Amino acid sequence: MTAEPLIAIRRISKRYPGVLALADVTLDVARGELLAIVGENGAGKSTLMKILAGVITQYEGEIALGGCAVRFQSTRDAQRAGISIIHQELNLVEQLSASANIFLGRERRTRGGWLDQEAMDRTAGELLAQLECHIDPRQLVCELRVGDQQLIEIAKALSFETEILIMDEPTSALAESEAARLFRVIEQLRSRGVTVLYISHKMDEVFRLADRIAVLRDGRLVETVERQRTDARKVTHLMVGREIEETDLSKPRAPGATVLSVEHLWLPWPGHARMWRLEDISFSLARGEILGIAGLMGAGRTELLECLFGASADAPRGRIVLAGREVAFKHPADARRAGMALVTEDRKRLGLFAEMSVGANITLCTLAQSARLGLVSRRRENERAAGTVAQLNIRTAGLDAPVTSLSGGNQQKAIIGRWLLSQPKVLLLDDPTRGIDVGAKAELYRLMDGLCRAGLGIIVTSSELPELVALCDRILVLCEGRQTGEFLRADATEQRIMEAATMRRASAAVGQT
Amino acid sequence: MRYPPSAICRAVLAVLVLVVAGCGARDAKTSTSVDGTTADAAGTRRVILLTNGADPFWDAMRAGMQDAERDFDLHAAGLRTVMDVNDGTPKGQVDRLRQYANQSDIAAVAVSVTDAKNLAIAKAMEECQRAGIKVIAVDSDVDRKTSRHARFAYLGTDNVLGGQELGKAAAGIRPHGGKYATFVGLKGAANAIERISGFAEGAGGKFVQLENLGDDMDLSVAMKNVKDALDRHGDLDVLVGIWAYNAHAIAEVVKQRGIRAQTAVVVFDAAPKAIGHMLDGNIDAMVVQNPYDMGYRGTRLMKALVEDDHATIHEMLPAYDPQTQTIADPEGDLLVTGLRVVHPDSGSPLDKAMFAPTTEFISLSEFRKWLSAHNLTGS
Amino acid sequence: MKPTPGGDAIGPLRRWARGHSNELGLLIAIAVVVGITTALSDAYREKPLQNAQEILRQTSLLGVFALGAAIVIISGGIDLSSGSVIAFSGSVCASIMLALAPVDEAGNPMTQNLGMGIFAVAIAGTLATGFLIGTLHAWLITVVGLPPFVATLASLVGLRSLARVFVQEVTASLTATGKTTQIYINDESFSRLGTTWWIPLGIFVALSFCAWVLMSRTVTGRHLYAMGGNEAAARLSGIRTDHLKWLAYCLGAMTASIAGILYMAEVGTANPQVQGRGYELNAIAAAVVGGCSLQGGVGLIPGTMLGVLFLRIVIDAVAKIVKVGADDYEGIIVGFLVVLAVAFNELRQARRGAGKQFFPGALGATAIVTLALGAGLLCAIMVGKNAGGGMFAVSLVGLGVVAFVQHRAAARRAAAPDSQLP
Repeated sequence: MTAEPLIAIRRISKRYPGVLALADVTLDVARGELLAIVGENGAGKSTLMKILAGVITQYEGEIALGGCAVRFQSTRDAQRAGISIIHQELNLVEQLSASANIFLGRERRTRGGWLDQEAMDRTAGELLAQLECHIDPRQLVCELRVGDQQLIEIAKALSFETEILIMDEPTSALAESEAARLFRVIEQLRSRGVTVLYISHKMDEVFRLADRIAVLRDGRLVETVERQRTDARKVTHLMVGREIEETDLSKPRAPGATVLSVEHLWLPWPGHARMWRLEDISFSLARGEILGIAGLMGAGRTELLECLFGASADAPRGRIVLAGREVAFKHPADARRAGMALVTEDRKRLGLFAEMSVGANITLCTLAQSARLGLVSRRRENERAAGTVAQLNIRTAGLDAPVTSLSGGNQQKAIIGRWLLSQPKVLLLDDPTRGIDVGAKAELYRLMDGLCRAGLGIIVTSSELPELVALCDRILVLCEGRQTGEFLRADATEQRIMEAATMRRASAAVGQT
Repeated sequence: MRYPPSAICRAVLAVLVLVVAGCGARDAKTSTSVDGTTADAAGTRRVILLTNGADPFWDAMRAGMQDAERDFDLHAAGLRTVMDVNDGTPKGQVDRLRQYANQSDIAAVAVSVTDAKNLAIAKAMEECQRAGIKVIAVDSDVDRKTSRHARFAYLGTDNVLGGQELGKAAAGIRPHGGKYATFVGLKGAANAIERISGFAEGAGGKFVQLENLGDDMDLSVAMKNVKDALDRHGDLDVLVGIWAYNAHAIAEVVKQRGIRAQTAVVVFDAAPKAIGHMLDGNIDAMVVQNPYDMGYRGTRLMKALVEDDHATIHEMLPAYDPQTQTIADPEGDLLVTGLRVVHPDSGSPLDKAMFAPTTEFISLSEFRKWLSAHNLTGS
Repeated sequence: MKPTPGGDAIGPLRRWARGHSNELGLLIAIAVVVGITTALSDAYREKPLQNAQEILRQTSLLGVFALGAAIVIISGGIDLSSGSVIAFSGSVCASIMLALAPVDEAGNPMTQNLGMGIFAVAIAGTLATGFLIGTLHAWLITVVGLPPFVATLASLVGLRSLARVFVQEVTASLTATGKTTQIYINDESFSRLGTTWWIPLGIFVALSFCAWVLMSRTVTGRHLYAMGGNEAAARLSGIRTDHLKWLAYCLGAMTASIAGILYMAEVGTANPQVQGRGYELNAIAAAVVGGCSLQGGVGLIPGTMLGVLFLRIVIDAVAKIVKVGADDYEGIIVGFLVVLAVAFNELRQARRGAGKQFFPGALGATAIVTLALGAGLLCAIMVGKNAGGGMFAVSLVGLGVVAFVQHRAAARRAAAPDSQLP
């Protein structure tokens, strides 16, 4: 660190009622470096970055940019000062085109005052091409994949002449290949002298990209370390304040009888060139087995789970046999009654009832069992919810606490608990560890392992291959709706799964066990 | 819950609303008082005229009430007159009457009954009487067969006679008869029914009724009704306006279509616009009630009722027996106010001899002189 | 942390109060309004009983279908049709009675003395009509895929018109006097349904109790809240959201039908031209003042009941104080209360209300002029022209000062960030 830091953060604190989100954080960022900011969920990473980007304007402490004190009142102020932020949840207008999003609020105009669509499309196309994003800038954002959407955000940031780019868990929604492209883009940005602040959970990314690593815990800055002088284990230790015991999931499990078998499942895709979201999928699941489903973004993992659960918009074709009985669910209610459970991918949008308490969230699906003559017995409901809270070790202030007061991991456990109360035969988990911190992930792994040993059949998807490899007895690989591989635990390596997941139609047969 | 507003906020806003309303209260006692004086209203009781809707017709009645308030010195009696404008619906009138019954400073109410057949209005009037309020009907009565006791007396036009005079006017203009349509606000209103049947009697057998259209007091519907009637019947040649604003609707359509030469237009009341239309030659005859007189005499009657002034009541309603305080004669609870037939200044075939002897027969310019003498624009 | 049902260490009373702060606030506000009205007007002191009865009767008439509106809102929808459903139901009820009534020698139905049998048939028929209307809404929304706003807007416009045509047809075919725009029901005992204060009140209380049990004690109620809060998640939890919508919209339409019967009984006339016109917004306003969120998933039945009572009490208080033409002020009052109730809540949500600038920039300046004009206009109408002008000037200067002070404070905060920690 020579001379003056580009960003000097001095004694920043931010308190919400009852919570100290940031306590007295002091941090310097040098010009042109990539500083990774790591910490468990709720450690204050996002809060700090939002203050820096002008999203949060009420705080204590001060920030200097290139030696001048600044206090942004809005993201516009921050953008003018050269700071852009790419949120974990993207901030795009889905019904507008890519170029319209890039120039949103700063539209180019012709001399007559009309929108200069051509110039914007041209510039947007150039910006996107620089980022290896080969899409038509006139395409609507809602039609694009998440990875491309993210690059639109980056292109937008670049169009501001951004000097400082903040990225909040940018790879959380990306497939591996898209992530690799993102890393190349980040390198490219750095070569142009852009300073990057990079928030992530994922140690491999952090160690691949960062110059320095700042570790936050409970709103405080624990330490800032040079990448070369540390390793993943040490950083993880700093984050959680304790060693994570290596979760031992490798103890062999003994799968029982087949509980679910799927034969030649086809899911139509009306109006799309590919015709089928899923093509000819066949597999089976035994009691006491964890089946992993791997695949890149858009491979059809979520679609597969949804159509097993009767939640897909179009009815699938093919045979689904659950516990010896052929089923064709028209509604999730049918699936639930037959003993299926689905924990959805997007917790906030598709899983949680934000206005409701922890207890009500847990008992929602099975409330009828706490009711007599249609009237709910509060006592029985509370007993059942309390039982679940204890069983899954959900950390909550009480059953009446708002569910939004829980951490991501505990919210996820509450949703799993909701479904366990329905005593399912098959549990479908769609990317259950997404956006969950390290400690909670390990806990979820142990939970799944325990449920499986108790005789439940589990199907789990994940964006993180190591997770699947560690957790699953078998892994099914999807690529663009086709089944391109199936591996037993013994054969599953990240390398082989990746190959199958990126496989094209011609070589679909390779990789069978 | 997402919106738990604090008690303090609610209380603050409630106080705010009432302070605003309180400002209004002080004013309501002065500015809506028909005599326009600003005397302190504390301790005075209200004598209310409840209209059936909003119309310039009521301005003339208000003028009569103002003059009566001055002439009979209502202030000395602790009374003041107030006009309350209904929204044209029976429910509006019922709600207002119930509100009167629940207030403590109302001495008497004169109601222009929106709908004679509506028993709820009659019942609300009875409720007012039970609360000690004197109730009379003006301009439009309750159904006398079923609800006579809902009011002490009816003060207004003899609508059957009015209809007859209008029919005679039509017969005077079209001696060989014709085909006519009647246009009215609410077909169920007693005055409408009586005027229309009176018209048929007065016009005689040579006239055939083709349509009777109600507009629910919506002026645009009123004009549409006239157009529809003309469209449906090519031989329609006499247009009859039963309520005050129908005159304008008819004359306007007649003017627009250029069918004045072959169409006779006779109307009730002299709304300002109707006077304008007659000046332009678009109306043949107006049968004009005297709302000024209704307001004037109505106020006098209400004051007498409030003060138990039996002599005055007897003077106004000869059938009233001060001893028993009842009206024996079944027709004795009607106090008929005068009618006028107004004709254009020149070229009218009408003649005084055609009409009843009690009816005044005057030209438009004489009528306008009378209006300006009372500072009115219509009647 | 060991999870315990009920959670924190506060007493049950405190916890209840925290969960029902909205209801408590409304109760206090109601008490304040009644207190002020009693102080300013003789009517409450001299005729307390009659006034209480009349307010409760009016509250009940509005409350009956406000309950339905609240259930629809809590379940994440909106029902704009209730005003027209009231008119339509009243017409249907009156038509059934007319059709069943004995006929006099002239061929006109006599509606003075109908009897219980005819009432029962008419009421059942009307409720069935409400059920069918609700079913139509639910079908349009869940199957055809119309937004609730559009589906119920269509019936708001369409049903009133249909009712008007219907009444004319019915009177043309059933009476000797021919086509009219209203149907009279002169039966004394039927009119008591709407005019005797305790009958609507009893109906309202009974319906409220049922609605409260449904929403807070049954599985279905919990699922309605869940659907209002997060419809996609509710569906993926195996909840039949289409069935729930059917239920919610049927309750919305059927409560409006009950209100339609009561309003028709009250005036003894089915007059679809004017009956229930604009009432849908009063019901929605009452639900919102009572704590329901138009986003869905939030709101309580007791809150809605108190919201209706509060609205009616304020309206009645103004009638007592303004005395004449009070109902002209009704719209102003309802609009004002809805904005204030929700705005206060929004500000409380923002928590740091102190740091918020109410009149930022050009929008704020224009808003100041608008507010001052509004205040001046009201004052001019109520007190007089000079007072109106004065009010305008005072409001303009007052709000301007507020804006200036807030702007200065914000600028100071921005210029000199306080770096000391408490």
